[in-house]
Amino acid sequence: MTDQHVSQQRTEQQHEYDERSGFTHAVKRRLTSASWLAHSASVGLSSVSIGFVILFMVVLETGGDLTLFTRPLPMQIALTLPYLIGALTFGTTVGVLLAWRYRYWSLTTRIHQSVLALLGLVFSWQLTTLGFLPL
Amino acid sequence: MTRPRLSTTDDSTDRATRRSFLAGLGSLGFVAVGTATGRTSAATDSQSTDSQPGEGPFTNSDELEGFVDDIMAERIGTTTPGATVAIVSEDAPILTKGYGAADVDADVPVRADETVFRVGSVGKLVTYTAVMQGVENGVLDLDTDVNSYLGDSAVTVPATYDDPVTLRHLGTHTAGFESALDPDIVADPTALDPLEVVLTNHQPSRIRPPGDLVGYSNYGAALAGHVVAKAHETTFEEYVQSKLFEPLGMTHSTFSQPVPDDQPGDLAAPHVRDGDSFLAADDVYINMRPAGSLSATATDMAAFMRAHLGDGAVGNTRILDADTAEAMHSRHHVRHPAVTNWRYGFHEYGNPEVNLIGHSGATVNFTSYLLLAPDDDVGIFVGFNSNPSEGPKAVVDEIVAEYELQQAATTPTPTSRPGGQERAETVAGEYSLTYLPQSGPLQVVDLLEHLTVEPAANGRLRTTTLEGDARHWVETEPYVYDEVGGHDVLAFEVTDGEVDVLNINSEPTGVYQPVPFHERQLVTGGVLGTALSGFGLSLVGWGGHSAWRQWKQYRTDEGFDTEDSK
Repeated sequence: MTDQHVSQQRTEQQHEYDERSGFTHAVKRRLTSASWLAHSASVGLSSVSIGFVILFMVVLETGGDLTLFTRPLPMQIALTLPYLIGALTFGTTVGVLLAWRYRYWSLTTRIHQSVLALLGLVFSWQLTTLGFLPL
Repeated sequence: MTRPRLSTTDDSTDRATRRSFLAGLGSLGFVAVGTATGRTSAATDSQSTDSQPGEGPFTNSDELEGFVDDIMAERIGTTTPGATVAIVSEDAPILTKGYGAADVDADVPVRADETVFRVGSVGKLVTYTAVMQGVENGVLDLDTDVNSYLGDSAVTVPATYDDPVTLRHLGTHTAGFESALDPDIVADPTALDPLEVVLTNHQPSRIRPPGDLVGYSNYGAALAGHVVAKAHETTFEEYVQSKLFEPLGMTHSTFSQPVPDDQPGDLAAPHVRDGDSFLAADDVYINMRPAGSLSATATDMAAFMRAHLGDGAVGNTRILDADTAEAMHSRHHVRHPAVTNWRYGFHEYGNPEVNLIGHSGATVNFTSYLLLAPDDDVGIFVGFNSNPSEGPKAVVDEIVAEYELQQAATTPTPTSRPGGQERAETVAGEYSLTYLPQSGPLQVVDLLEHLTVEPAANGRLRTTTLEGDARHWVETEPYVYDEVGGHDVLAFEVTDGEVDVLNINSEPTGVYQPVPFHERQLVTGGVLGTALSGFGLSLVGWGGHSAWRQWKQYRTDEGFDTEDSK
């Protein structure tokens, strides 16, 4: 192996290390970023809420009302989603409160996130009313 | 007999779909774990196994058989693959006959005396007959706290209210237990637990004072069976076997699950619909056995009906004293004088002024109906080995109409009492049924089943459901309304201008109560729709914004590349 090969290999390793380190750093940075977590919670809240309704309706339509008793796996999955929605609503709401406290988003984004948190709260309230989410 | 065939039925016959599904479910409970095992067209063979001349309304048994053959021919292969029918009159079976296939895969015909059907909640009538035997023997009392019979049992009814739950409450579904709909149905027989364990593990909350409102309860029926077993220091299955089935010669009947191999007869296969044909499915098992695990032939059910019509006896065999049988057939709970009420274990059928009593039954893929007309000494039992939207009750309705076991409905006469429009506005609102769950995911069923009452012109009412079932009603007495073009009755109970409950003649298994504003369908639908729309718009906005940023970044990078290449 020539010096040139060794040098090239070291450069590649260093590059790979830098990339990994950069990725790890980025993940760490995001996981400790209140604004990123709050934003992710609201995206998750929107996605999981819509996913829950779609999955629940599809299972009910394909399997009939009986699936509420038999609880096949897709129905079991659907019925666990309200708990996740409750947790994401909590995360979104806390994130919004922190955002208004520390002003880490623009005013428009803060209003948007506030609306989402409000929708999450009323959606969770209805899930409670319908028995999907025990108090 | 050449009476014109009537197409009318006793009440709001089979407003199918979800309502009938729930009715069947409520009237037993279930869970479909049916795994299809084969595919074939339904057979339409029929086989008469017993036919004797009768009297009473059925003056010509051949004509009766021809009529039943006709109405079953309309259903076999289309509504159900198989059916079994028993009609008794004047204490004798005049028609017991099987129709169609017991198992479409094996192409086995239904035989009334050999083919065993799961009869679901019709089996509760056996359970409550056993209770009445205990009352007759002085072992049980209808008005004593059931806890007094459960001394060494792990099952105890909690003292939620001052008044205790009694056997009278259990037999009229007025104990006030919260409904779970499901009588703990399992797909695997190894998952069957002792009755005491089931009753302990699935004890519902008491949500209403006992004796107050009807709310159909499988748990209550199972508890009644457990009380019978405890009071006689045996198991429920052994008790009914020795005290009811053996004396009545019901040799093919059992509450045991699975049906023992040495049990006489062959159990029909349950079926599910598959397009234009039917598929045999796996059977399921009911943990709350006294509530609905009975398997029986039509011939055996004929014997049971004869005992009830014969004042507790069939020939020289007596299972109840005449006084006890009469007590069982008398009213034990009145919802409202204008609608169907509860006898002991039986509910009234059709016009409450006519003495017709019955009970429906269903498992996941079996349905049945039993009707007694004590004044005419007539009993009718029909069982299907499927669970279609139009079940065996429709067959019973046609026989009742054809043989005029109750008078045909007349055009309702509007009340002459003034203030009809005000009363119509008072009762307007949204209502939910007491026998539907009030907690857990099944609560959504309650929301879907809400009944909306709206005032119409001239003091009339219009009722609607989410399924699009719209009906019109004429007030015949203050707060009592007859269906226009039908036979159903609405009866409101109003105190100080507020509706307490709404009773519907065709829904004896529960009563409707007003729904709070925030739980109404429009509010719930509006809130859910708004929230989901907001979530959807946000996702679309985020997606669009992200795409725009990436496109902008791409354009920027492309600009740099172009400059570099110059």
